[in-house]
Amino acid sequence: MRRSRATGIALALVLALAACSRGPAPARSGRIVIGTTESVTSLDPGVCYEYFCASMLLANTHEGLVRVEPGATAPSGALAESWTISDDGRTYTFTLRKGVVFHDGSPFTAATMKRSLERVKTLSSTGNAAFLLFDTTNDPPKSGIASIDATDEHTLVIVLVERDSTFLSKLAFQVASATPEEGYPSDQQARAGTVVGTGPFELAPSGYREGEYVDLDRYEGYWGQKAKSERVRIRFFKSPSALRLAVESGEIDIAFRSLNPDEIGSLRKASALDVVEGSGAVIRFLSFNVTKKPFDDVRVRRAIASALDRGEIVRKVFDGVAEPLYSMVPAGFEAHRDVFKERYGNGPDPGKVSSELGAARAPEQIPFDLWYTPTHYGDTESQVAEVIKDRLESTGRFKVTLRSSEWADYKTSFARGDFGAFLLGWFPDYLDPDDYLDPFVGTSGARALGSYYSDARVDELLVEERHTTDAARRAEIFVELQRQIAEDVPQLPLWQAKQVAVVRDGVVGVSLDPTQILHLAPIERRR
Amino acid sequence: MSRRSSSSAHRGPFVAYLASRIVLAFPLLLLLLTMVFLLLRVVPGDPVSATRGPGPSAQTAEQVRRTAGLDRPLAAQYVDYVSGVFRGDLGRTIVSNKPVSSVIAERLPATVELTLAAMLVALALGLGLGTFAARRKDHPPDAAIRLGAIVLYAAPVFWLGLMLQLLFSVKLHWLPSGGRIGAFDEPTRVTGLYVVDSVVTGNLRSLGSTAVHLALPALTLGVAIGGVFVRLVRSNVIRSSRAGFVEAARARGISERTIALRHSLRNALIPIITVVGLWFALLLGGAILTETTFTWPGVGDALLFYLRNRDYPAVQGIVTFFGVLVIAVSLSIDVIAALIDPRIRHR
Repeated sequence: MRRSRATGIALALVLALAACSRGPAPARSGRIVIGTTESVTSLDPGVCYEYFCASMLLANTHEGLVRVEPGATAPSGALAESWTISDDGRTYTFTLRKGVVFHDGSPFTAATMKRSLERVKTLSSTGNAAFLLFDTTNDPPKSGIASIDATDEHTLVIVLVERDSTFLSKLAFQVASATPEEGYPSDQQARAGTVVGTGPFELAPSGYREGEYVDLDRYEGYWGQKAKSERVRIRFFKSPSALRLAVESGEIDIAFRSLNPDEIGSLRKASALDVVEGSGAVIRFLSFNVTKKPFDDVRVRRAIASALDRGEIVRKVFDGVAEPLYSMVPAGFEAHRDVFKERYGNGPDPGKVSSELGAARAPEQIPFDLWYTPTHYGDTESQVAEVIKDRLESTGRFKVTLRSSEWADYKTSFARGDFGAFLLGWFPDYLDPDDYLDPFVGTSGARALGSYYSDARVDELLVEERHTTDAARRAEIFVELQRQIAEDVPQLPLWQAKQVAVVRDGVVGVSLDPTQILHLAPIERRR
Repeated sequence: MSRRSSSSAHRGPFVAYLASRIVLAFPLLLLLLTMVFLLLRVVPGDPVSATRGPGPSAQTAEQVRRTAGLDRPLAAQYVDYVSGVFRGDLGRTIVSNKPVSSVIAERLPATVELTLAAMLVALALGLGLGTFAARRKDHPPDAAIRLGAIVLYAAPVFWLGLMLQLLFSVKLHWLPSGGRIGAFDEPTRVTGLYVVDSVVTGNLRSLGSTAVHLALPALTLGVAIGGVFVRLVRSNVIRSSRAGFVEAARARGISERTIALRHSLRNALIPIITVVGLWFALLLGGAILTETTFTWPGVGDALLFYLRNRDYPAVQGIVTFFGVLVIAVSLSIDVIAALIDPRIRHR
């Protein structure tokens, strides 16, 4: 009796297996599965400050007053239909869109917007991106938002402490998303798994499994263009190789962030897959602590700038999915200039290395540690460090020791000033050249990012750039600041990463632009 | 002596044995808790800098530490943690601010399902090949099986997993490369074990999807530990068929069937149960590599996530949970072994 039951169960299993053994589950129309190696810590716009949460999830489920449309760099209206800016540049009066309803059915009003923004400030202790909107360190504040008023149901007035030409760009970041009262307490973070906004996608019922997947359903009550697909699942993978296998075998439709360059190379040859590329706004660079020997001597930093070969890094490590970068402001911005190419040429120049070091009366061989982290920028990081070491040592003037530490430790160490030379990357918070300059050469930003560079004239220029709305003057300042960086070399820009998504045949609508946002609404399956 | 009095005469030493085992488990548990606590604090990096972007100022980072209780003296944190564990409170995670126990509850079914399936694979492999090798002792099939078992045992789990993925997922397209079930195929949750839930709710699509997803990870993990079982079963079957008591039983004219079931097998079972039990406990923890290779959403996978984020409470909680599990399993093995073999409890 017992044996026959066991046999029965085994038989049923085998039959079920046979029924499904023709590979992965067949694609279902209206549903899209996206795989990523990114990870989630929080889903609350008032708290999270990492790529996945902001640019893959909240950018599709939540909206703020303004946003940067695909292909643009300047913000346009989202929940705000229009706005006016006072002559002194401090008062923004937003006219809000009418009839907008949150996923939970509650109405969007000026009062909810005010509450959402103020909540961000209250939650600044969670390490969120409140500093983009508010001065979280000084009381009374010296910059950022001074007051927010809902003058009627559809009018919101925001007054700034001082004029800030980047304010609208900052307001486009997901930290400034509208959240309803229900589920988002004003003084603490939302319960794990709460996702309620006004965007084109809403969280599916029990659609969040930490570390496994997020299921998003098309929001039928959306005020704008409705999403093309009924449901999108974002699945989390632990390694690029697992992600690659899944897209290769058809278990997922799209693999996005991050596959290794060699894997992308081999996937390009697969017949059922498309490799979609987009320009990236992420920059990678070598940073120096300008107060630490031997890098306290600008001539040593310039010698390194003359010795490096960016083309070699891109060729040897990235197999074409990156571009050499010659300025901290990436290509794609009008203000971008190839300042390092102008100053040091585009290849290694041993003559310049010798003349710089000769002027510095440096010893025959300069030994130093080059730091990198193997746990934040992917598997390629150690190879990058290796290529740089070889190139510098080939000049005969440097003796480089490679040293690495885990990201958690790395971050604290460079900010503390422990590292002399270290590899770093930058993911922009808002699309404005200011976000590529102020954090690196502004005195307080440079301290936080471990270069300890400080220059009074540079600080003045940064303030002036932020205070003026004159686009031509701003562009002039940006160029001047870029040239200053090439002269002083607190950082050495290396390459600009391209964004890459691998998409199965039949899935359309994937576009990658400098906002770094993965727009889910236009993605659909077509036979 | 009647049967009844004989069994109560045995109970005394057994209870004493059981009690001594349980009492000994406590210092072991305390040692484990202390080690986990200290190791996490020796590792560089802390949860605040690990989970947050480069934005927060020193002041806000300090506030985060305060809310998580990380600003208090180590000794106070330690006492909190240990007393919490003994009250059954594993604390809350820092990254998602939810009870660690709920994380474990959410992830455990996946790990248990994988472990059970791997155990079945390993046992089938061990009993089948082990007995076969014992019968063909010192013949080519025996040598081949022994060699194969050693190779499987020595092969790293993740390597084995990758090879199977390459063959069955990428080359042959027979089985999925990872995940626990196809997208949107999850059965309605009853126990959290997808096989059981699919059967209970009569969802054949889920059952099929679960089975194909389970196949590779279970095979990987099962084959890796199956190697040990093969050798263990083989040597035990050989030893017990030669044992004096078997010869004696034969001489007394007891049937071969009774000898096999009542004498040989019962005696051969003890080392096997001990190893099976220990491996089961180790499997739960050892599933981390398999879970990572196959994106299997179990507790091991969660542990890796929290470890990367230096989420002390979560890592402490999960490791403690595994530790308690291993202690509990080895305790029950001792008890089962004592029940089967009276010599153990009289030692």
